[in-house]
Amino acid sequence: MKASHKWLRELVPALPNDPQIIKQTLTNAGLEVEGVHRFGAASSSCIVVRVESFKPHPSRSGLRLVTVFDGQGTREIVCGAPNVPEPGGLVVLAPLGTELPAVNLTIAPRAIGGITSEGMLCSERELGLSEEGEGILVFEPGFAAPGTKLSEAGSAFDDWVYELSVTPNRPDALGHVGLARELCALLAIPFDLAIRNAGAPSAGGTEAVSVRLTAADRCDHYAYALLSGAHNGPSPLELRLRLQALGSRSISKLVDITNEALLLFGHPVHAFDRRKIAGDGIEVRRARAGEVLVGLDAIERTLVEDDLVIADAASAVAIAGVMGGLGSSVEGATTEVILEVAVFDPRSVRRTGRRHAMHTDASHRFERGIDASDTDAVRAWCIDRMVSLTGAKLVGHGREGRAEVQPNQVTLRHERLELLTGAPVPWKEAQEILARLGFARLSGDSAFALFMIPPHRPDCSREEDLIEEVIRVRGFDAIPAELPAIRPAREVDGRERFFRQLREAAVGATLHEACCYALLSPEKLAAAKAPAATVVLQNPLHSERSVLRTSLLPGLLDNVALARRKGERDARIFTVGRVFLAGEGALPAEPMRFCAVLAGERSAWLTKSEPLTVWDALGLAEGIVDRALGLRVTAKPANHEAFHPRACGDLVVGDVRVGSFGQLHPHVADAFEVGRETLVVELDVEALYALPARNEAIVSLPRFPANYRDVALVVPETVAAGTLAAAIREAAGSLAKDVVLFDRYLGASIPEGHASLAFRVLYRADERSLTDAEVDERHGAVLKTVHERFGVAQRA
Amino acid sequence: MSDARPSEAPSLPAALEAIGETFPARFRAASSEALLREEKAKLLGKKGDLTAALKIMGSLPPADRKAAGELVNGLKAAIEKAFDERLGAIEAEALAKELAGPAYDLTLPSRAPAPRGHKHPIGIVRDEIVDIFRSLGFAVHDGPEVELEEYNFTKLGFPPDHPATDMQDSFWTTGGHLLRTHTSNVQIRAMLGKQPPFAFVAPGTVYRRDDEDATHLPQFNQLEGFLVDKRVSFAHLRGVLAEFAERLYGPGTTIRLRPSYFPFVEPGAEVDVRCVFCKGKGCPTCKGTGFIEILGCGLIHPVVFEHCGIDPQEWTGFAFGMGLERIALLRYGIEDIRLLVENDPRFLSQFR
Repeated sequence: MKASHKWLRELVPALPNDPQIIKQTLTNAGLEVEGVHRFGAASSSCIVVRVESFKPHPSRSGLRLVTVFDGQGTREIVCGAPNVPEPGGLVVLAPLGTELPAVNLTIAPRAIGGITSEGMLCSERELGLSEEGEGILVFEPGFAAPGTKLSEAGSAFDDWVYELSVTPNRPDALGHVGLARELCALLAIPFDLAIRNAGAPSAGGTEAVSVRLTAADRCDHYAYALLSGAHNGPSPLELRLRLQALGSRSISKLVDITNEALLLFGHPVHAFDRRKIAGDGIEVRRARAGEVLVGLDAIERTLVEDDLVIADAASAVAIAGVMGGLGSSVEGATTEVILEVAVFDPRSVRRTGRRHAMHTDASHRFERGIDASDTDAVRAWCIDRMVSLTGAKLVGHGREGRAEVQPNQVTLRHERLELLTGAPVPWKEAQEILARLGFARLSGDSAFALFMIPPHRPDCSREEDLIEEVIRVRGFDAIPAELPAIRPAREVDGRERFFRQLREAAVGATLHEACCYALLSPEKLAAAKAPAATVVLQNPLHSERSVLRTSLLPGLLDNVALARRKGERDARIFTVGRVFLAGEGALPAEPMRFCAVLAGERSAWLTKSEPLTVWDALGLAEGIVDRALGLRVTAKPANHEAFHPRACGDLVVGDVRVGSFGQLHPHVADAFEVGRETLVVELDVEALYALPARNEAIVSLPRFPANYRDVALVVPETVAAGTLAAAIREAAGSLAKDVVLFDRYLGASIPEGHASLAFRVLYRADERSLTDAEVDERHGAVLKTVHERFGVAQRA
Repeated sequence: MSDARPSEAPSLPAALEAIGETFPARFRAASSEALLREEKAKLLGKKGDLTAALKIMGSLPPADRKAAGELVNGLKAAIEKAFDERLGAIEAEALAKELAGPAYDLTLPSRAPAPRGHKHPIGIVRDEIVDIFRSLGFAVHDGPEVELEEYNFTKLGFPPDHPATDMQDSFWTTGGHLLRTHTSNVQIRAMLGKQPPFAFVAPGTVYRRDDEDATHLPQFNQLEGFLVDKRVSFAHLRGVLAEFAERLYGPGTTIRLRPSYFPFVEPGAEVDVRCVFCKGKGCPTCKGTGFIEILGCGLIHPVVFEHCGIDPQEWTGFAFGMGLERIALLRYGIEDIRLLVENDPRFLSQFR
């Protein structure tokens, strides 16, 4: 919403003339002024001059030498405009040294074809008054005395324009009358506008046009007037500039008056060309399904029954509260006008606007709720304005629907006001603030008061609304800061702490935390072999962000690919976040997942880096689960689509699967354009969270020494080391406290397809020292078993 | 020496004398510990010279054996002593040499146990803010990201078909639900069917239909906080937020409240902190105003309590919500919000 400083002061001359004070006052009260702009900044340095004579430029075709009189003497100006008026006409001169910020120009003496111009004759565009730059600005003779500063020749040439960000609860601030009222309340200036008090016109019949309201739930209040004999045409300069300053394009007198009314009262009004209305009357009704209307924007729209229209005998002529129809619109030749000042249901206007992707100055106001009590005043003002500007005559007027708006009444308790404020609030002051805002006090005493809600405040309906008004106007600075005694709520569960432990464990395990989009495309999910999306957006911004993820993997792979394209091939990133899967109730399940992606190489010290392997991924998983939970995770062979079939495993804690790990499947790697050696760890955070707590009691330290025996076995590569280790452990019995694979060798001395695996077995008894003979005997049993079970012998 | 063994046995004293005369020189000649031990073995080992001499002892008449034994033991002790001295000297010499060697090249790259990991800036900011509120007595709660319209809007007091929802343009799912536009749905989730007191914060991801550009992402993070108890006032809200600002931005940081509108609070306010970069003097970051807007807040609207089955005459409360991206961007001087979701390792590795 744009507001004119001059217009506000025209309405209430007692308002301060300092735009900064107005800005601060409004902002501090919740009507945020985002900016204050100077309109017509050049007007105070440009002057009105009279054309005395002109002749062609001696050497430049298209240019003229214009002699102007500036009130004291004459000057010669070089001018290229086609519309220099005949002698006696008035134009605007920017003297030498003038700054024209709208075109970023400072007038300096400059020879044009050998003749130095003593300034420049200006167009509206150069003066920053409008976009009109075709010719120079010309005034009728007698407009102002030559030599008058432009800013003093008329009030519209120079103004301050406020850019307001009005919150949706304050439709009253969407017009100058409402803003003036608010400012008066805030600055304790009396507010009483004569234009607000006009009643129904005394002249004119009431049956000139018939109006029928056949959708009373959508429109139960419709005032109108019929005027004829109008001479429409371009608006006078002052009106034109006022609209331009506020961002509204000037069209013609009749149309401009309706726009001016909207900006003044915040109440949208509409004018129909009577001669384009079929039949004797209009109807406010729901649209017929499939009914077609071409709007003022020349776009044809097919309406539905939920849309409200204004219709003549033949068809819809306007979309109520949103936009007029092209076919019934006022033109330059229009002489007869039906003026509409109505109130439309906010929800209906909003639904229609959204349905047809239309947002207009009118719909913006109607959908927020407008003051239904001012239709008489707005109509009277428009009629006066049309009569005086176009010479039209009022033929008739009328009103359908309810005449009176029943105001709400609300009780305010002093005790409640102070409780919510948290500080004393003088009762007299509170009541005065409400009175200034237009809340009439009906009754009350020292503890409570009954107030009538003014019709321009549809946002106020209960006690807290009045309390907000008092707090807002007094200012938040009047409220002290006080720390409450917080009775802590029970932590619902420890999930946030747990997630943090996991994240910190991952960071401790050398990973970078990433923050990924949950919105992505179905194709990305498919490329990562993730389950198909269960949450699909109706209205995505674009197809790349049209579903919610079912896996964290594609997001991380996208990040790795992007970094790779930017020249960074090493990535060790993880994220903890939700995936969205089919749920049991109305909403999807949103389990938490962990995913880490490793790409690049494992750096070594002053020697060649090694490629990362699937065992790096396993080590990472072990480290994270150990750091976060103190639990030991182990690998089990598995097969998952996203992973290389030869390098894929599940992660288990005890018997519980808590995740998986592996090397990315080459198809997936290629689809995301990441390296084929990319490794992945996925953890099911919910499964980890559900694991029984680790037994935290310590194990006593061994009291007797350990004995070690090594065994090196040459086995086919198909025999898993883990299987061998388990067999060794089983054969070694309870005295074997640990079995560790400490060497794995493939090479020349080992047969093709075989590996040499060396294990170290740690023997120890809890209650005594073992003898060498005992250990040898037990170890002999181990060798025998592996030989029998795997057909392998100890390597020489 | 075995090849020097005489066919006619020499007398023991003569043999011992020969050993006694030669071993000091042999020890001195040994230039390393290994050579020294070798020499000692030649004397005292199984085939050593002294051992060989001892074999003669058995042939001596018993009357001579005692004197001979004393001689042997004396010589053995002398050898051991000389060995220890020479060994000490060799070790000292080696250490002196090692100490006197050239300094190591400490300009070589260090040998880190492993590259370190880093938290995401959003994670850092979120953890820090959660910790502040936890220490003030707030617990942590959460709610779903795909939400019923009723919990995201209706129960929070957004009137149906009201432009207030334009402030939060929503993504709708084909199932007729929406992606939560704020973490305020957690208020409803936490309060519905329960009775106060409540003191929660709720960090979480939210979604709004904003095109991605340098200052907007369609998906971002908020932290909601709310407190409900008897006689909670606006002064309490101000107190908690002032405390928060000082803990997050340092002692002396002041806040400023301006009236604003959110359907689920009344009175509603926007909160600015005094610019931490210019201390309120005005700088490019705060656009010359001296203050930076960081959150929205207000007293919980009674309609929200009513929708949750809580009597607003008995209980009052406040709520606040802040955008974590904004706080992170300001803190780290990040000029393009998209860096936060690109997750380039070179970006991520810059955070503590």
